[in-house]
Amino acid sequence: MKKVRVVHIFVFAILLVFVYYSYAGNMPKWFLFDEKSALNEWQEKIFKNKVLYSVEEGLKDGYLSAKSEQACSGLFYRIGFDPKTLPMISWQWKVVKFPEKKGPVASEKNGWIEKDDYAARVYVIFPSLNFRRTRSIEYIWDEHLPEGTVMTSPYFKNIKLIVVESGAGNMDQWVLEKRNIYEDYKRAFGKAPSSNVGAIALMTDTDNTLSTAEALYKDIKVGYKDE
Amino acid sequence: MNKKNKRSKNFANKLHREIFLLVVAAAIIPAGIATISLYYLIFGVTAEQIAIPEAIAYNIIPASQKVSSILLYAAPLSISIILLLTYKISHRIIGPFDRIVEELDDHIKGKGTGRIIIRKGDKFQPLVERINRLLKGSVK
Repeated sequence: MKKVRVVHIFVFAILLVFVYYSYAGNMPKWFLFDEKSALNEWQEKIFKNKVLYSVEEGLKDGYLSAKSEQACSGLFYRIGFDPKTLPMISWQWKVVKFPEKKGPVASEKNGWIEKDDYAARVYVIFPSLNFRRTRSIEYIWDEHLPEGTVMTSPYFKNIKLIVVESGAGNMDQWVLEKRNIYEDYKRAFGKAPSSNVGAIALMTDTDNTLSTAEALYKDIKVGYKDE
Repeated sequence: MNKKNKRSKNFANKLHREIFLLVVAAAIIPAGIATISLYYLIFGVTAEQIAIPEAIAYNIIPASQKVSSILLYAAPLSISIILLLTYKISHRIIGPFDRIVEELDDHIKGKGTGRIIIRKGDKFQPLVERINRLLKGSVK
């Protein structure tokens, strides 16, 4: 009887290891946007009007173009990995046009929801069974906020925005970003993530400022160790 | 109500407690499951579909908070009403039942008064009337 129990536990453990490795085996996930069909694996989620997302195939490599006209929609990709063991995310982005904000954003004050538009942002989402406990960090490129700023979204306390690129100095240039999700989460929320990364998303939005913005994204790599 | 019929405990006997628990469980457990399922179906699944955190925060969270606050007031109130009604109605069933048994026991022993007295609103009125008629006949 004891032998049977040990065999059951052993088989279950092997199954768990198999599931874990087949799950983690797809990492890192690399999005090159080098062909039109690249968008097929992304879902478009619309908040207010549609942002025009399209893949532009270049001579060497492709990129994702996002043009927003008083709109807010994002591209969403479900994924699953442990941010502690595979903490890195990197991408390249280029801002062609910033949303028109009137003056700098008062990051700690209420009432700045109307300025919560960014030329480019990359989401890392940590879902929870209870949707009210879902957390996310958003890497943003803002024209006014200083680089390194970490702030809470005006929409919800579980959304933290991290300014990773600031100002128009690098406008119209491809800029490479490389972030440690695990460390950024700890910095933003004050503790380590309790769940896996469940999704990433991209967004260029101008619904609050009622303006236009344009940004390009390419070469997104997520879920790997920093070597 | 005479002294004999006065209850000293919340539950008259084991049967009373069982009826009470059965009715309460039958009312509250399915309602709880239905509420949790609907809450998950409406808000959880919608949030999963919306996906963008700001959109969830803007559309779903305020609605779920409103529903939660309504539930916070409505659930204790409705549960209290269910408990109170169950308690009262089960007493109306168990009270006469006990008195019928006691009186019949006394009657068997030859000490019976020949009449079962039940409260106004108690269940089993027609049954008690007929038993009283029978007892009256047998005393004669």
